[in-house]
Amino acid sequence: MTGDDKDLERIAAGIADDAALDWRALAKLDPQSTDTGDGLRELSQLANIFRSLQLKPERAASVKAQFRFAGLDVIEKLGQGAHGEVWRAYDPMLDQEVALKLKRVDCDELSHQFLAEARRLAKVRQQNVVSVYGAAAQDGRVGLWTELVRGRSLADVLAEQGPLPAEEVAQIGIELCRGLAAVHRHGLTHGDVKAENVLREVSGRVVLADFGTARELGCGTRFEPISGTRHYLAPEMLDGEPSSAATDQYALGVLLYRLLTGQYPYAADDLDAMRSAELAEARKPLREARPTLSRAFARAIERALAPDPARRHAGVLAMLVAIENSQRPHRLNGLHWALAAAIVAAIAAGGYALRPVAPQLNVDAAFYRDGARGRERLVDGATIELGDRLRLELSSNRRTWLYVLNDDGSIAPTVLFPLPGIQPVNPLGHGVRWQLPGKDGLTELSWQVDAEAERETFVVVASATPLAALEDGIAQWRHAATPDNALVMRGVGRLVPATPEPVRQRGSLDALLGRIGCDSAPTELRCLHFVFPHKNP
Amino acid sequence: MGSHMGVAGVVRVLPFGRRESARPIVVSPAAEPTEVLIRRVRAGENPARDALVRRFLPLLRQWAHGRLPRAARDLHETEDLVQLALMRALKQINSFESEGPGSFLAYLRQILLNQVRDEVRRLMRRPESSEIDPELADTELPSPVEQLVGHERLRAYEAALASLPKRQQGLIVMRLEFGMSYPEIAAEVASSPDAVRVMVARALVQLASALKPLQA
Repeated sequence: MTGDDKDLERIAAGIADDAALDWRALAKLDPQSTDTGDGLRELSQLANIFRSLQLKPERAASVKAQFRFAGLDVIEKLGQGAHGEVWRAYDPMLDQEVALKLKRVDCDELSHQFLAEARRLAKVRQQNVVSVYGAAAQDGRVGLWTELVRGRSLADVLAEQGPLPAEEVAQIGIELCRGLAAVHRHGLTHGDVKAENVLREVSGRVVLADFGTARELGCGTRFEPISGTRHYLAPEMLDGEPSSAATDQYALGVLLYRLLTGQYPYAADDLDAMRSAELAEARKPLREARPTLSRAFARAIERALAPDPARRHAGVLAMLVAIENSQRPHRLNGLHWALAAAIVAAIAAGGYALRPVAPQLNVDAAFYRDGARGRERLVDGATIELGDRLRLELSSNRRTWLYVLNDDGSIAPTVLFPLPGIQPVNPLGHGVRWQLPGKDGLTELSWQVDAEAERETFVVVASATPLAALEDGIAQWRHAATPDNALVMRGVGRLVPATPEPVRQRGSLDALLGRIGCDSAPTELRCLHFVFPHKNP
Repeated sequence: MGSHMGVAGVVRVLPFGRRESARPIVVSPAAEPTEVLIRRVRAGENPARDALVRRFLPLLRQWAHGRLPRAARDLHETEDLVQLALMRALKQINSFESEGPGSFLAYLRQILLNQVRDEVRRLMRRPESSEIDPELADTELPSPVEQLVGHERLRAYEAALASLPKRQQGLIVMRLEFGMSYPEIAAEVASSPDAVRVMVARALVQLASALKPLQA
């Protein structure tokens, strides 16, 4: 039994005991165990829900309701915000206490918008996002009720204990990336990520709260006043753009920066000055404020703060991977390649095993996924997803020069093999089942899917002679990132799963493959395409 | 652990968790193990049958409470449904193949779950009073569990649970869903509370790795 197995069991025993989930232990799991760790996170929350249903609290009878709203017994006012009031209420149907947000409305249109928004929010069920249970309009008011999170806001934590330890901030960042990813996947944005809106439960769970009222819905006009807190607004929002997945990411960057330093990245008296400061990136670098911070972690956060949305992470999931990678000891990083992989049905050869059309060069190649449950061959049409670790197993009957490329539709593909500093190198000897990408010293490596896309296309070119045209290209193209430069990522599209990607222009890679002879299928050359669709979004 | 088992009858041995007083349901320790009772029911002994019903009815009733949509949560209907499921299970008891201690409860739960689904289908054919905002729900008639967890997440959980050996399913269901204490489970599976705790933890790790995360 490995140390990780013991850790997993200990965490699981905690869940069974109904003790607070050990988020810290979860965060320290090796990459091989993160899937199981995610499963335990989920089980912890499910267990809490099951338990809440077993309890029969008598508070329904014992606590006097101040008034009723949409079937809820409204018990006590918890707070008053700019956008309305928050009440503690009891839902007799769920037999649970809930948090009810109430606000006055003065037109029908607004309450329709409000209910429509609430419906969409109710679809988002993820442990790092507050669960929305219901919404209603009644007596000139609209109300939205959610789970009642018992904990403190990060603003309170910060005020009380000052800047947080880096590992804690990383863990918070990871949780919030997960939560925001769920929000964005539903085509929604949060729009008001800030320390006041993030709650830390007693158990350690980090919960993104208070959307729904984040956006001021317009009455009659389409005008949507800026409602976020100034310090968290991305420059494009100060230019009048609406909130987006990219502005949520920016705000998360501001929040993490603040948790680490106690300061906002930019402070200014008015919005114009704020905007200028943001565009000039006139902030104190994180590593100046916290010299002990790892370079990779600082980069992961500062990238989210890039004034140009296109220069931020490709999505919060990419940000998550960057933060995760920055936290792992280097030794473990061997498994992590910041590069996306994916495969497909072979376009040219019609299968992933190359048919021996010509006896001269015979290649057998298949992609595998390394998972918690061992190695799994990726068959035709298999889906892959963010975080998957892939390897190529290949053997041939002749000495082979091999080139593996990830074609993301851009002009230049990403080189997955050969890679500098990685063994083996070309040419590959015959009669060996090569495991690629290979080894960095003693560490076995794999390619990791690090960004979301519709699909991933691998091009595998095997040749009995070196291919000068490809070698030239490889010298210029991006290479799969090693742990040291893991933040240099592919330029995949933003995380907007609702709209299908337009068909990409087939660029020069196809032309190049044609030039080297893939189209004419010479006997000395094998060209394989593997296309793997991404699971979801 | 021998002495443990001896006192377990009083069930003052408290679970490791916080909540003790919430649930008065106790698997009577003086009683025979479920496995033995099942053998006796199969042999046609009516007292054994009654004992089984007495043992499991309260647990199942409470469990069903969270699984039924509001429209069906009228006390009588819940009661009927649970009794019916239990009777059905006992009637088919010859087809129940034990996969170790605890698997009978997993089997009962499955029968009841099917019964609940039938009931929901039946209710959906019946015109009902309108909800506050039915569109908020994932399904038309969400149970509290569905409303709290979300339809898709619940489905993912059920699928993962079903992929485990019955014995492990039973352990998880007893601890997480029925809220039985370790001593109670120990009495049910003829083991010690400490051993049960380890077994539940291992089963949970299995379940966690079978759980396909809906979201990254």
